[in-house]
Amino acid sequence: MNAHEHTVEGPANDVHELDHHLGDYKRIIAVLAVATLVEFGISFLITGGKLPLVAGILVLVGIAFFKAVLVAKFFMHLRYDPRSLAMIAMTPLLLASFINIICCFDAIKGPAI
Amino acid sequence: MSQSISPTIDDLGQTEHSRRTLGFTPGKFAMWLFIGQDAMGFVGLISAYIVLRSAHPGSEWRPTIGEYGFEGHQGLPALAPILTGINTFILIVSSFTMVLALDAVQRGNQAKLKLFLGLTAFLGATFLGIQVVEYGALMHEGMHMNAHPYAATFFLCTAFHGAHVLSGVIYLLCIWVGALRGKYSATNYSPVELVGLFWHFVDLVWIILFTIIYLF
Repeated sequence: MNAHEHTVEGPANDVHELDHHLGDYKRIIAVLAVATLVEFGISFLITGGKLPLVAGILVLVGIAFFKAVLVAKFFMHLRYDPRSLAMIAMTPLLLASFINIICCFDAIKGPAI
Repeated sequence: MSQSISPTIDDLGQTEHSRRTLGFTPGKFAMWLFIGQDAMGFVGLISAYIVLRSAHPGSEWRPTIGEYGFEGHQGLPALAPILTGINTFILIVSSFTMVLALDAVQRGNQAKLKLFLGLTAFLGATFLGIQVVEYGALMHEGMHMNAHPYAATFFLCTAFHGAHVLSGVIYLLCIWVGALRGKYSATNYSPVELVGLFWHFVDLVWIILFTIIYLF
């Protein structure tokens, strides 16, 4: 029997799933746009002296990571992909976060050299 | 008569077989490995930025007239967060057009695939154009790589990212040409998915860089 006579089960792409993803994309772009505007607002509060610098930095970095996670989960499909792929993506990011946390000690205490 | 049995790797090809058995293609696995190591490169630069900035507290970080050895010079210019904020928004929108391109090819809509791929490349090129204008204005005001750690880290981080945007635009244009030739379909869209992954990574890195470099 010719191999091409096999029936490949299931459609290539589930339309309902695609519709669901498309709805997510629209919601995420709206959240990203609003979050960017909020970042601007906080930045102006910092430069205007109405928000303490350290608090402002913590909020800004928090929003930036929130936006980055949204892009990775929804636009880069980590939310829909198998967990093993997310583990591959997360491993270097965990190492990177560790390096950056060590560098933040420098930012608090001053560099060793 | 057809038989309803599990398709083999010979029936589907390596890419589709991997997609159905593992949930991802070999290309996607390789792209994530690449993104992981590339992210570590950016982390090195961001770490250098944090350490150098901590070593230059207050106005030492961006010396103005008469400060920190800049007597007689005009000092270093401030960055323009509004202009770069618009650029950031352009890059975020390009990520959205990229997912719309992927959605279009998965639905087999060739016209929308070509439109959104082309739009994504155009928005990426616009981002680069604005960055070049910004560089020109800053250099005109005396900000060069060797002027100060502030200038060196700014140019190094943003130019390294800019090189990624440039390569992303070239990559997008290659895929766009493939789309114009009708190479992709609802069952063969892996290259569109991979260029999308790279493009979103470029967007993700910029979200972090923009906050750290421009907003405080």
